[in-house]
Amino acid sequence: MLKTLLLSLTAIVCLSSPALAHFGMVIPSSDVVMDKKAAAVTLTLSFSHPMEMVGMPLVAPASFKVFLDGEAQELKDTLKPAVVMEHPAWAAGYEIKKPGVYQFVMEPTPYWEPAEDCFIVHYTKTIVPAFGEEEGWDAPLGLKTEIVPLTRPFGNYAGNVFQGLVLLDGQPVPGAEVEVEFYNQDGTYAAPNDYMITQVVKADASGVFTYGVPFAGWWGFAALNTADEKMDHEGTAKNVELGAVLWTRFVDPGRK
Amino acid sequence: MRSVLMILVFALLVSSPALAHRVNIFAYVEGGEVVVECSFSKSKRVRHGHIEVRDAVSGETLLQGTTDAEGLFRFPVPEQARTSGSGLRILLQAGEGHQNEWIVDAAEFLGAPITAAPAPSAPQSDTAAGSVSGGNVAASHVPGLTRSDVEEVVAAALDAKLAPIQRELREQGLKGPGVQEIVGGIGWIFGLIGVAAYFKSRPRV
Repeated sequence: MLKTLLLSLTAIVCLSSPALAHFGMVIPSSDVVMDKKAAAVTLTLSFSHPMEMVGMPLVAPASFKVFLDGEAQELKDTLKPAVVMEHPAWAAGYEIKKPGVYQFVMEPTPYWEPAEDCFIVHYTKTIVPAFGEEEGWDAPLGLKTEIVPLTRPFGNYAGNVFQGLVLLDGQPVPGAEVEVEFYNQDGTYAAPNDYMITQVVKADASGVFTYGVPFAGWWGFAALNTADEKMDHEGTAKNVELGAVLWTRFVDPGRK
Repeated sequence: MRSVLMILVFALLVSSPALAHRVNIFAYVEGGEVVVECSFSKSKRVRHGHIEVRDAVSGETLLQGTTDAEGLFRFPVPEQARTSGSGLRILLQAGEGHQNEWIVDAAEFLGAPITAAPAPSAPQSDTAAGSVSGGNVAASHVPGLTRSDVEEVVAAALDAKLAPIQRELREQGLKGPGVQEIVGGIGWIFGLIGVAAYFKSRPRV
């Protein structure tokens, strides 16, 4: 009796794992900084299925940097353990002192995903402009792989179209697959079916993808490629999924 | 043909980016000076923009000036602002329709050194920045720290900490009665009328 119960329970658990997309996440406490009182920004780093609000453990990232005018500053030592979606995550405080466009980038330690039989490395960035300055949001940072925004990645209304260029080793990736997910932070929305958890668009022949953002909130774009090099997992060489992830917030207009 | 060219040239000149309609102002305290940065964007600074510095509470104009070619304007922290402990409202006028303002909190400049004075020593600036915890330890290790030095340090720290409270008190003083006070006042009036009516209506014995 107990055995059948256990077996059926196991079966249910195994079968009911929907096709969730993985997302590296870097979410700032404020998407733009206009006031000195709001200049202390907290950045939360995690690894999650953001629409379904299912977390995965994020071990200490290989690096966490802020880029300003092409100069990078390592912030890894400021990371403190946090909990996101009931799993280990990280948080860092950063005080913005002067006008500029601050690009925060996490390079995680490779994550072994047995279900997909590969490693996952999501280079994840988010962009916070401060005190009215907005030059520099379109600058590539020279990451292994990244999404270079073609739509200014802040100050966008919900419903806007978002465009980005997918780069891998500095080169555009024609036909790159881009997964798009909403950060269902307050559990506001439910996907009508499993297809709608993750939206998918492909880049065109020049590596540019386009997505119309349907409603307000934080949206993640993950351009996925398989690295040329393999990585060792318990003696066998395994594929490495390289993700270029960008998080940006779309906002509803205020009402008078 | 020529007129077409002229029109084209004119169109090019006129079509500066839309961003140009928003002007940014940002100010911070450096040493004993307030530095004001004015720009349309990083590469486009506000040249010769008109700056007016006002007392953030009373609105009194303290000084005026013009930005340089880099969009910068520096001025020493006004003595009046130091003594009153109210913040500075800095207004920028950069031509037609281009204006913006920035508030410098008093907490940012109270405790900043007076420009004429020599640069503060390390423990002093520590304390002024609010990290009082290390101040005592540092002080005991610094030779030649006189009693008046310590007093100065403590006074500066207290000024910095109390500035927001001072300002709040002042702002409260300047504000008229709030809705609560007015409603409360009306309540009192009705109440007193009621009491009077009661006594008046009571049959005299």
